[in-house]
Amino acid sequence: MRKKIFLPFVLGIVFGIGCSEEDIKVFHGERQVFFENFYMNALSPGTEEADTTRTSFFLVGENENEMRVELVVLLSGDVPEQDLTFGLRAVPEGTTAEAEEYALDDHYVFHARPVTENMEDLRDTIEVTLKRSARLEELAEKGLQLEVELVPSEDVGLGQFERRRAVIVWTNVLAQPDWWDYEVTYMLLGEYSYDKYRLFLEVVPEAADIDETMISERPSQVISMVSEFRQWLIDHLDDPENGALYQSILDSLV
Amino acid sequence: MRHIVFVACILLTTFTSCLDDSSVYDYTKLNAPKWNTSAIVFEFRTGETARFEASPYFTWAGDSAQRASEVRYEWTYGDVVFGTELDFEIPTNEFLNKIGMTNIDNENHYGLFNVIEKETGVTYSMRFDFKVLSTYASGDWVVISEKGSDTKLSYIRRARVDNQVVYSLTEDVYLTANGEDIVGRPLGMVRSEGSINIGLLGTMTIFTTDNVYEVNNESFMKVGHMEDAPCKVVARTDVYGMTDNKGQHTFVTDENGQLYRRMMSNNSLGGSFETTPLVLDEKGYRITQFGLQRQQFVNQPCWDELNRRFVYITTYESGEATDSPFGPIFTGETYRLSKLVAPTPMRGTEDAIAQKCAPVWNMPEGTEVLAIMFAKQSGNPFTGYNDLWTMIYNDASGNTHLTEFMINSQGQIIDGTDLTNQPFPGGNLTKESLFIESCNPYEYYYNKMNFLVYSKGNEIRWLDRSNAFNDNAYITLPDADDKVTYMGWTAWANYEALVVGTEQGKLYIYEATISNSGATGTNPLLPNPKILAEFDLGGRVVSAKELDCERSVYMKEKY
Repeated sequence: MRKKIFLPFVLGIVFGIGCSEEDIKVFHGERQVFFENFYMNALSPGTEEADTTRTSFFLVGENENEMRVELVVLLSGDVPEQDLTFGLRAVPEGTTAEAEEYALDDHYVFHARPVTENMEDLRDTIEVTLKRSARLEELAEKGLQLEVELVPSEDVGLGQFERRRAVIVWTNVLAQPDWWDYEVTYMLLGEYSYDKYRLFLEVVPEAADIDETMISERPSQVISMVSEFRQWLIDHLDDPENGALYQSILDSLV
Repeated sequence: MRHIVFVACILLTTFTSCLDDSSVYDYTKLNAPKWNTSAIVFEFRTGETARFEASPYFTWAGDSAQRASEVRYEWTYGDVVFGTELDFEIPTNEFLNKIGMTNIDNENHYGLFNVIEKETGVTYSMRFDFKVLSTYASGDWVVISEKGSDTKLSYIRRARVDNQVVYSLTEDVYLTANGEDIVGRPLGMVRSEGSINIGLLGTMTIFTTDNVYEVNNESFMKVGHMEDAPCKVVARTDVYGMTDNKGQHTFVTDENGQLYRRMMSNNSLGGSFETTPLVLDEKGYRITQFGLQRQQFVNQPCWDELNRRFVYITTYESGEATDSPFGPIFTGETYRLSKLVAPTPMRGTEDAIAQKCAPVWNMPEGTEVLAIMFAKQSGNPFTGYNDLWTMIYNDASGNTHLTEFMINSQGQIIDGTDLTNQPFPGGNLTKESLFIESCNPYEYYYNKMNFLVYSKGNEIRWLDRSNAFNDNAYITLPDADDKVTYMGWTAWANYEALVVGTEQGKLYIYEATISNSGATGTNPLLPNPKILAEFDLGGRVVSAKELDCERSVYMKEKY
């Protein structure tokens, strides 16, 4: 008799569970924080390459002695219900900057945000302060380097090994952009020089938008920017102070 | 009795957990709109007004006024809701700003038109496709015609209104843009879509009795008179890749038929003409005619009048490479080179080939070439494909012939089943006749394939290449005294129309959008097609060209 009662109950429970509903969680597990960029090439079988964050005091204007550089951090694991804090420390072996040439905050915050549909990852941005120093001038394109490492906390652990650190390089000059390749050199702008590029950006501000896509898809736009630059140089050759420089830049254009 | 209790227990336990299932299924009576399309299609131009209209595309079952008051509308692109009305207008540039589109790419984009029930939030969506074009865009046409002793450049705009194509004419666009006339009577016009160093739509080069004018197709502003060429330019042609970023090669001829080349760098940032003409062989050459080619880096046919032979310009890839059994494999940056080739019959097959086609490597004296055109890729997947060419020529006695010959990738004229040499099926023709073929690279799916269309006075006829070159009537101009002076397919617009210019300054656009159900292959040509548009340009029409910047579309003809 007991068996007869027991069996239906078991069946009932089994069927009952079968009809209950449970959401599949996209973000689930132990919380770990890591940078978006790899500081070293990914370990096999990964194929991602190390990516350094580069910036220049050239971009912030002469009177600014500090600049903030943004680093994107990602979070894996459970969606945070409240803000998470973690730390950041400089790694001496990967750092050429002196302690007074940068500033790290006591702690950093990964902000809790509601998860929206189509969200592929949980990300936030932290900022590191870089300080202008006299020796940046002499270091020219080599610049200074800072390697920072995430420091875990009670809130959050560390994620992927190759993404626990980030490398920042800053200079006082504007490095040769990737799009200034041999074709641009031989067909349009001539050999790269810091003065030429800086003046080009000053005279034609839209030149900051030039990239590989624009060169391949809308070369006429790039050509007309260079024509505008050329005309400006021709119009300012009688400048008492910089006339000679303008002349040499003009001569170097193709 | 106990059994009944047990059964009741079983039933209760198994069903109760499933009874209240409203979290998964929430039944609401739906009253969806009845759509009459699978997608709403729009085409907008920058600087004009974009009209979004959904009302023609759906109806409601029952009381439509009542239903309309129960719903609201949303037009979305990605995450952006840019409109909340059923039908509305917005300046195109404002629309682009709203959706954050900065690049006018002539590509199709997709959005959703949503009908949302106010009470339940139930959403019914319909996809809409839109394309944003520049002010002058692919599928539009420009025409040159006589204007007294000068040349007039006019512009024909193609617009889609209520899913119908509508053409409109603006005359004298060069005069408006430049404040001056094109001096001299028109001789011809060449389109160079690959001149993207000047503008996205490339340029037109207009030849007149007085000068050469190169015009930017985006603005109709004069670029110059081809002053950078090392000679007086009498003809021009270009080869370039529409999909890869390999610079355009421009070829011009001088009065002696000598060929000069300008190679642009990979992204067309720069390049200059070589100062000496191209060298072919010890016989020399005098190029007097460029034949009809396809777009892309494909062979450009030429007629060498000096040696009465077919020659062609070919391009090939170069760069750092490693050898492999299948030919070189390029391992680094590549670029295009070009050369002039005089094909000769493959060793030992000369007699066999001469039996089947005209000796195009050494034509008899007195030969007058009327047309050279790419016909198709001949062959099959197992043996490979070779270029088949059509040449129409008059012999010394004035009899017209049609020959087709085949050239392999090594520049040899080779034997094959498609070769022919026969009297032209439409009778004898003069140099005034015009010819167009729709190139059919792989023998299938190409519209207007297998038609060799030609003009004869005020008539346009066609030969059926798939059926022993049968001669067929097609179009007779409305005016019996008129004469066809130009014709070209709307290749960009899927060969849906034939554009015809006449001696008396008329431009007709004939409908050619006929389904494949007819007896003669892809898009048959039925006699007396409807005239979609007719314009009077006031003077002899010399040439017309379709604007095109669709760099992604594969192989079209350069009429």
